[in-house]
Formats: sequence, structure tokens, C-alpha cells
Amino acid sequence: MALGRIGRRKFLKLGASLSALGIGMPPFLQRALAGPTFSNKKVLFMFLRGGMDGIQAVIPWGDQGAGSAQSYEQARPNLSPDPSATHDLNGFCSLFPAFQGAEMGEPRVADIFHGSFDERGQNLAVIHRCGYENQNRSHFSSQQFYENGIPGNVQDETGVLNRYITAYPDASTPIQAAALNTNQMVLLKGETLVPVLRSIGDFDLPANVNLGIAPNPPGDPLGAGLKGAYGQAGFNPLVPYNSLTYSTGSTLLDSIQFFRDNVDAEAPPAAGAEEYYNAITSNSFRGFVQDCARLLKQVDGLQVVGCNQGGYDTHGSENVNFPDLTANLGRALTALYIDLKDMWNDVIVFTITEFGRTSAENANLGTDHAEACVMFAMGGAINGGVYNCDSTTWPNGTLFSTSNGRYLSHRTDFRAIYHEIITKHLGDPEGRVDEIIPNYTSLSTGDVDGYFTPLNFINAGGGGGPTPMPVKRPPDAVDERLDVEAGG
Amino acid sequence: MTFQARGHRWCLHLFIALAASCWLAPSLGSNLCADDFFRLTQFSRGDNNGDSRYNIGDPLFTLNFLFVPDSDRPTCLEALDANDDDSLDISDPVYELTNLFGTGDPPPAPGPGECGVDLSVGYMGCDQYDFCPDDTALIVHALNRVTYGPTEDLLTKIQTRDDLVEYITSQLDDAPDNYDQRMEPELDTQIEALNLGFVEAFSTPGRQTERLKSTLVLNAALSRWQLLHVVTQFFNNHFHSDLTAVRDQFFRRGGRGGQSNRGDAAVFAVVDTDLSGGIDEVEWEAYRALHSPLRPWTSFSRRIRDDNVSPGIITADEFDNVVIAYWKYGRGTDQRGIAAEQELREYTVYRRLAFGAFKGMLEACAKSVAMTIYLNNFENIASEPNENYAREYFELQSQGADRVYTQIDIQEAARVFTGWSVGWVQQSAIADDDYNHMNNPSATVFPINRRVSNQRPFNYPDTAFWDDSTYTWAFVLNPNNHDFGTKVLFDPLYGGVDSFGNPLSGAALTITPSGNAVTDAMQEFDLLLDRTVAFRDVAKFISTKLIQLLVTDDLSDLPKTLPLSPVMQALFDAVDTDGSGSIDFDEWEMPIPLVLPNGRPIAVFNELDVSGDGLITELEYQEPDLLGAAIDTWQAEDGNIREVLRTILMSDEFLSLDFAQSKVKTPFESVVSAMRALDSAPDLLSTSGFLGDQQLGGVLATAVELVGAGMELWDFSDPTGESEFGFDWMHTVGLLERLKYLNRATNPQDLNTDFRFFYDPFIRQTDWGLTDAELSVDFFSLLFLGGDLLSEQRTLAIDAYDNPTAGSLTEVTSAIAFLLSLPQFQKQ
Repeated sequence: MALGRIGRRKFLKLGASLSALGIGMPPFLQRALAGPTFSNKKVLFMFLRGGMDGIQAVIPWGDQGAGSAQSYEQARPNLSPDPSATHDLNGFCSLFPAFQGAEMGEPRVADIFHGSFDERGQNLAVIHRCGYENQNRSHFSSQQFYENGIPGNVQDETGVLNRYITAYPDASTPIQAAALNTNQMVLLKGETLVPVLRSIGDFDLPANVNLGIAPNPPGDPLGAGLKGAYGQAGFNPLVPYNSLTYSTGSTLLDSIQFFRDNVDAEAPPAAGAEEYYNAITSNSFRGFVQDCARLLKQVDGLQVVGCNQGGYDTHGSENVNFPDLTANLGRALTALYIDLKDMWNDVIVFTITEFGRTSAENANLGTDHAEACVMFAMGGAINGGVYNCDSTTWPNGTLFSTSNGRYLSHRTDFRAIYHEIITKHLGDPEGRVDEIIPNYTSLSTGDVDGYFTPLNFINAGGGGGPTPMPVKRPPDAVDERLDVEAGG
Repeated sequence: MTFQARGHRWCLHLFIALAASCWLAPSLGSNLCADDFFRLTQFSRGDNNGDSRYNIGDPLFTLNFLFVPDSDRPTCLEALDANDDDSLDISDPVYELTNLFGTGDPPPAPGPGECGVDLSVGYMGCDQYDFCPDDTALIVHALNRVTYGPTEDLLTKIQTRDDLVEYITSQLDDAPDNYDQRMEPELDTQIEALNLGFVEAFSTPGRQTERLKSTLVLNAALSRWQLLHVVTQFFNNHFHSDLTAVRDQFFRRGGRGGQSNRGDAAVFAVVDTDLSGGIDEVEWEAYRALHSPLRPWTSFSRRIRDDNVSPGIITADEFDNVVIAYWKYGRGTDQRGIAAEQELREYTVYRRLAFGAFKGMLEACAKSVAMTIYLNNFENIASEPNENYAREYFELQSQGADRVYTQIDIQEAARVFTGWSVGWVQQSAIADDDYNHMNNPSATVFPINRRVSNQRPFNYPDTAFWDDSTYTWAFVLNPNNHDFGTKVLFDPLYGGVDSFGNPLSGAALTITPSGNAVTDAMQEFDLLLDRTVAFRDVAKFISTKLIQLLVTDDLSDLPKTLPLSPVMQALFDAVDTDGSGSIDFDEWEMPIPLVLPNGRPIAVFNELDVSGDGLITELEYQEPDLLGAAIDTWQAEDGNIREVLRTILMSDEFLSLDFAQSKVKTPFESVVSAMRALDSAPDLLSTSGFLGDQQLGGVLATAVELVGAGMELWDFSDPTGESEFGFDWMHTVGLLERLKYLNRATNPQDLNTDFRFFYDPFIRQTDWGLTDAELSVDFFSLLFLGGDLLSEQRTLAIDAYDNPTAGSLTEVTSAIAFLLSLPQFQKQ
């Protein structure tokens, strides 16, 4: 059976498919009936809402400009940081200063990139110039496209990662995916209901609420308490949202029970990670990231977890806001790098954002909506390095290479990134990627511009892909400092 | 034999529990109190035998009933009271006979051929009448949409479909133009008690954001003009601005928001008169006496003035870089108070305009202080335009994403908006009826952080301009920052398309200012505004959102019974080049020279191809009847929102059960509808409503907890505003948080910490004789859910009453919390 794609108009009538699975049956039992376990691979995503300024995050110093197209420094006379404060990645581009610091708790993203953080080597990929054809510069639309994987279609409300877990349900786990957020993200929305949590600690009802027992039609068709109320099947499934409401309630109540029994909301992170978590200045983002890691570590079979970091819509005062945002992102990446070490070969942490920003700064020390963006991915399976940002992939003038001469053009379709994560990491044994990323095969086979050419940033099965771009080692002095810190 | 009414009709319900004594005539042998609490059975007076006709059989039926033992019993006693004198006796059949065969009047309303109820004091009850509808479900459905939830009072007053139509009409037509909350004194008192806004002398109360949100809660819970507030909240969300961003973008920018004076070594040396190396309270207050804008000693953090190391002393290190003197709006709380005032101003302006022309609201939004700051228009200058507001002006506020406008239009509109800003201007420059403070953009702007110059380190803020009764924030235009060049918008060559994917028709809008004055710049906007709202797609965009608010999220469910109009048919045929009756992808992507060289946008195809089969049929191309009607009204009434609403609310689509329960309540709607159903009073006390160890009062605590449920209101960071779609609200965290709230508020374990609003769970028990679980569950399920309850859920609710969990307040609160937690209550 092909995966259902759920448009807005269909999502609110999610009835037939859920009913067929048996409303009232705990979600993990539904999944147990649906298919076997096959993969222990996991992903943790962070959606950087607002359109992260990729050119500022990973600065293409090497673009000298061409004709009327300015270089980075020319285009951003006020936003450009001191080059010496940035962190060279490959001799062509550098990380924004805030991604790496010298003090305890400050990010160590450059060290992670260069493989100098610990013995794990280089397994951070910096993927520049991600985007899609006919880029939309609306937050709403472009976020929708990055989440449903269908540029041009704002109607489809199913997320790529929800399609994945729906295609490959895991019989062994009660919770195969989860989000830390105050709302459901489209990326995880779809046929399989995914619990969303504000925090693990908050995920409970008052003690005087009777969670109850789900109805068991052969035995007790009433059940008890709220589970009984939400587990009833007598509602009209044709009324919009009825099925969704009942099944959301059942999922919620079952998940609460599971969390009470199995998840420690206060579980400490791995040694050394806490100082990076604690240094994240946004309370909500800190909590989200840390709880994502807690879930990955405590819930067997949890494959997909994610959260948002907001605030990247830097139309003004980017000189003030961007350092804070990237420092927090860097702290999160560093904390996760440490905290998830024990499962490092099984996890990929990656970032998404809906678009990049104008190559030229505006009058308010900010930038406006544009096109190509940058993505980060790290994990044991990652071929660390810089992609799409070196002298061979980034000719002079690329900063202004869209047809209107205003924006950075994309070189890799974001779906090619998803494709590698799904097929090389999470696994696609039944070849269902065209349902998970609609029409991927035809898009990639008909691709004459190379947008879908695999970057091979994931080292599938340890076999390795093409050698990533040459990278530069950090100065020895940095290593010495790190040694001192590690020793202390 | 005579039957008489039993006094006030509400009293009769007390007798439900007293079974045999209630309307129990010996000859009847059964209880006639079958009206469902406050919902009365509709009947037709004079149809005494219940056969739907009014004829000789009816008086005969009454005569038999009165005088012949063991005759048939009436099922609707009130129908027999033909003369409506509140007693049943021989005069009633006589009255009917006189009417049927003489010149007497017919039975009064609801008379023969009519349906209705009798709300008079002498109502006698009606057990069953089969030929009139039960409009309860329809009324509950409609009230869930046009109000923030049914109340017992509304469900009592609105008994029939006609009552409902009358209520909606009244909500539309009787709501005051230019509504001001002072028109509802009780509500005004409550809102004033919130202490919203900036207060001089470091006295602005904290939690300004929550205070602002609480105004919404109070309006929604208490206002008589429910529809006005539903629509106002819709438009406030449509034209959304984020309070925190307003505060940060304006006040946190150096040079605009000004800076605070901070302690440093030079000041420390002057203050430390005894040269002890520390400043004590006496030294500080003596110094402060010479510099009144300085902070009082007690306002310093205890961490620096009363720390363990140097109690009562501020050391030089502690003093360094500590704020010692605020400029007028230097404190974060003050800044938030100012931002909250601007947001409230914006909201109240939308409320005044909500039933007027859309154009008025669009203009008010563009020129509101909050919006001008939020979307960076105050930073949009000729030399380097900022596109942020211009983009959202089209995408979010008027035309919808990727309709009509293009990137070039955004750039050109941004030029129109250059030089727009906000300023601190004299109150006298603002006319009394200029509620949005937008009509004098030439007003002189006064500095807000004027300081005594050249006296550093004694450059404390000058108090000369500190008087908020003299000055106010207002929209202004700085002509020096305005681009007075010619702008060209909506040129078909830009490639803009309408909602059917067709290129724009007509000439481009060319704006050439006639001079370099503020008025010339403002005229540019007038031209842009007029042209913007003239597009049919504006009517379609806003009408679509209103239908989604009031009828259904999914317009593809709406009936399409009308054929394509000739104009639409011609447009369809022009794309359906092979005449197959449907548009395929190749036809769609056919290049249109000059305007759409790559064909029509795929995004529009996807939207029109509702079935997703790769073809756009004529039926898919057609707009739903209701949408078409709303657009027609819009165009005929110059975008008058009241009339568009009337079209929607009086439609068959709305006044039917076709879309009942088809939407999901937002957390706000869920919380407020519970408050309303329970006839609760807001809790503004700061001695209750704990959040953690903070005592906020129930209303402020509610505002905080709504955020937890995902309802951020003025905290929502994106200019899109919050979603109207149910699938964005029905998820585990949203459901969890609203269930937490509803259970804590209605069945508190701790009356201090859990308290959110005043309600008396026992008053209904007394008034209605709810003496056991079944009666209680039936009553509250009718009140909360319109009786929409599965039999299994009813059993479980009775169990919640009979076996409340440990920590429940009472049996009835246990049942109330359970019923409010049901799936049905989360929907509308």
C-alpha cells in the first residue's frame, strides 16, 4: 500500500486509516501489528526558524566578486566580522566567530569540524547552498516545503520524517518519534501520531485525573477514566478532526503512562555536556535540546526527535542577534556531540532552515529573505567536511548568482540531503523513498543541473563516499588549549 | 379539573428530582417534566392531540382529557393551553372552538402552523412534540462559532432557529460602531483592574504581556458583543504583531531606545564621600537627592546591596556597570508596558473598525505604531529599503501568499513605505478621534531621552519630556528618509498571477509623487492602498479566512451547486486548450509570452487540483457557493466586513449541522468556553492563581498557561499570526496543556495553587435539583456539549461522579472536569 499523502483537506479527515488501525488501541500496539523492527539508526533535527543567514554562518571569504557582484566583505561592510575572529574551515570559507569560543561552555563547533575535539575524527558536514528550484521567500511556504518535501505544495500537511516512520513502523517501541515543541511540526505530522512535548518533566496530568484504562471491546468496552473516553469508537469518523482528536487523546494518555514508567526527566547528561547545555541562554531551546537527547538515550527504538530554534528572521540588528543565536546553536551542537557519544555511530544531528538571506546587508544591520541556505549534519556516519563552498563549487560572483542578481543560488536540492539521511542512515530496505520524498527518483533521474547529485556526506555502512573537500587543521595552539582543558 | 402553572418556570426543574410531585396528575401517571433542563421542547399551540393538525379533534381531545377517565394523555401540556392563560381548563377548548367555528382569535404563539416555545412564567411544560424540530444542536453549533461558547443564559434565551437568527442579527447590527469598552462598564472595570501599561516612577507593574493577554480573556468571557470580539481577535491575529519584538526592536536599539546610565569608577568616587571603598544607603540617598532621576537605594538588587560579603554596602566592583539612572523607558518592564499599550491600541482600533471596510483596517495596520516597529518599517529608508513590511502587507495582510504580487512589487512597495516611522509627539497633535494616532504624520517628534549634555558623568536623563499626559507615541513620516522617485507596481510583465494562475490584467500602477512633502508621500500609500484592495483576490483571501473561522477549515467541503460564470468559463477554456473539460499539467505549464514564459505556477495548480489526480476539472475550478457569495458581497459593499459576515452567517452552510463540530477549539477558545459555560467570574486577585511559587491571580496565570498550550497570542513570533486550522491545535502537547488547565481550574486539588476563576459548582445543583450523578452528568453534558455524549462516555462520567479520584474537590467537580476533558469539548 502506498503511503498516503495528507493534504490539509485530508488531514482533518484522518479517519479511515486511523480507524483501520484500531482507535483505542495503544499506538505501540498499532505499530506492533504493522511491521517489524529493522533499524536502530536515529536522527535529531533542529529547525532554525526564520531563515538562518547561511552566508553569515559560513562565510565564503573566497568569493572575490565578479563584475557587479560584490564579494562578501563588500556586500556586508557592517555585518562582516573581523576575518581573524572567524574559524577557517577549508581555506575558502569560515565559521562565524560565535560558533567557537575559548571559554568553558562556549561552542566548539570548529573543533568538532576539524576532528580535534576528541578521537571521533571529522564528522561534521557543513553543506552550503541548499535550496530548491523556484525558491519561495515566504517563511510560511518555504518552511512547509522543507517539511513536507514538496516545494510548491503548501497544502500537503505530512512531514517527510512522519512518512518515514509510517513506512517503517517499529514494532518494538512505544514511541518511534517525538518532538520537543509547543506545537506540532509539519515535519513530524502525518498518519502516525507523534507525541509533542514541552518538556519531559511537564508531560503529565494532575494527580487527581484518572488516566484510566483503554476500552477492550472483547472484555470491557467501557474501559475507565479518560482512556476509556478517548478510546471509544462510537464517534462519527466522517466529522472532520473527530478521529484526530480521539486518537491524539489516546496517544497522549498512553504516552503519559509510558513516560511515567520509563523516562527520567532529570537524567543527567554525559559527563562534560552539562556545561554546554547550561550555557545556552534561551531557556526553551536549552530545555528542548537536552530533552531531545534524554529521549534518544532513554527510549529504545526512538528514531526521530527534533525541536526548533527560533529567531533567525534577522531583518535588523543582525550584528546583535546573530551572535547570540549561533552561539546557542553552537553550544547545542557541542553539548549533543558530547552527550550522544555512546550512540554516535547510530545518530545524525542535523539542522534545517527555510531559506538563506540577502547577500547584501540592509540599512538596519540586517538581511532580508533570500534563497540558498546552509545545513549542518554531524554523527558517526558523517563524512566531515565542507560541501558546496570551495573554489571548485563556488565561482566568484556566486553570492549574487540568482537570475535577479540578488541572492546566493542553490547548488544542492535539500531533498538530496534528506535522501542520503533516509537511504544511507535510517534505511530504506523496501525502496519506499519515492513515497517518503515524493517523486524523488524521477526528480533525480531527470536532473540536468546536478541539484540532486549525491554529496555523499554520509558514509554508508562504513564504506565511505567520495572524499569530502579538503579541510584545514586548526592551528596547533588551539589543540594545545584543548588539551589543557581536557586534562583539567 | 384544572392544571395550573407552578410559578416561575425555573422552579419546575427542582421537581425533576421530586419525581411524583412534579406535574404528576393522578390521571397521567407519569412525569411531564421532559423539557431538558433549560432547553424546552418546541410545540405548536392548539395541536392538542399531537397529530400536526389543528381542527375539531384538538378541543375534543382536551375535553376528553379533562373530563373522561382513562382517556389519552397529552404529550405536550402547554399545547393544550390554547388561550395561554397558564391554566388548563374548559376555557381552552372553548377558545379553540370559538376560533375554529366562530370569530375568535387563534391560539397565541406558537400558534397553529408555528413552532416555538413559551418562555413566559406560566409555562406548563411539554414532554414531547413530534412535528417541531429540536434546534439545540444547531444553536450550540452556531454559538460555538459566533461566540466564545454557549452559556446557560444564551441556551435559555435562544430556543429556536428563529431566535438564533435574531441573536446573530443583533450581534451584527446592534454592536456599537466605534465600540469602546467603556460601553460595558463592568467589563471596563475588570480590564482597568489589570493595570496594563507604563506607569511613571518605576511603578509599571510586571507581567505586562500577560496583562495584555488577559484583556482578551476578559473580553471573550464577559462581553455582550461576542461576535465583535470573535472577529476582532481574528483580525488582530490576521494583522499580528509580536509584543516582545516590538519592545526589542524599538527600545533595545542603541540610539532609538536610548541607554541607561550606568555606574562607573568616576561616579563611585563622587558618591563614596567617606572614602570607605563602599557606598551605603545614606551616601547614595544623599547623592540621589541632587540627581532625582537616580534609582532609589531600595531598587538595587539585594544581590549587590545586601549580599553576604558586603551587607548594606555596594562595592566598586558591584557598582561598575550597574544601571543607576533610567531614562524614561529604561527598565525592561517599562518598555514592555509601552509595547503593551501600543498593542492594546492596535487591538482596540481593529475592534472599532472590525465591522467596517477592510480597507480601513489595512490602513490602520500599516500605520500602527506596533506594526511599524514590528515589521521594521521604522527602519525602512530611501537609501536602503527594508522589504519586511512590504512583503507581509501583500502576503499576509491583503492578497495571500504568491497572489498578484511579485518580488518586484515588494521592492516597489517597500519604496512607498520608506520614511515611515514612529515618534514621541505632543498629545495635542493628535485629534480626539484619531484612535490609531496616525493622521498627523507631520507631527514634530520630540526626543525621549534628552540628557544634560557635557556633564559626564552626571548626564542623567532630563525630566523635561517625561510627561505622558503631554506626549504620546504616534505614526510619523520623515520625508528626508522617503524615496520620492516613481514606483511601478502590478505590472503584468512582472509575472504576478491571480488565484487561478492567470496573469494580471490591466495597466500597471505607476506612482509619481507630486512633490517632496509628507502629504505627497502619504498620497503614494493612498494610491497603493486603493489599488491593493481593488483586487478580487483580496476579497477572496479575506473571505476564505472568515469562512475558515466561522464555517469550516476546508473550503473544498462546501457545496458547489452553481455552474461556472461565463467569465470563469472563458478563463477555464482558455487554459483547457484541448477542450477536454479538464486542465492537465501540460496545458497549465504552457508558456504565455512576455508575462509567464515558464507557464503558470505549479503551486496554484496544486491548490486547484483538490483531488490530487493531476487534472483540474471545471468543478475544482469553481469556487464554493458560499465563497462566491461572500466575494460578491465584498465587491458590492466595498469590502464591508459586517455585510460579508452576514452573508456567511445567514447561509445554509452556516445555519445547518453540516459543519457542526468540524473545527478544533484553540486553547484560548477551550479555556474561555469553559469559563463561560460555568458562568465564572474572573479572578484578578494576586493572592491566588499560583504558577510555581508565584501568585499571579487566576487571570494572569491563565494567560501564562495558554502559552504552554501553544496559544501565544501577542507572544507569537511570526507575522503569520496563529493558525486557524484544527490540525495545528490538535496535538499531544496542546491537548495535554488544555486538559491540565481544565482539570486544575474546575476540580482543584489545592484551592490556592490551582485556582483560576470563580465558579460555584453547587449552584446548579441547587437551582436544578441535581441530586445525583445521572442528573448532574446530564445537566452539565447538555451545558458543555449540547448533549453530544456517547453512552459509554456518559457511563464513565457518572463513574467520575460516583467514584472521584483522590484529590478531587467534590463529586460534581470530578464529573465537571471529566466532561470538560472529553474530545467533544475540544471541538466546536
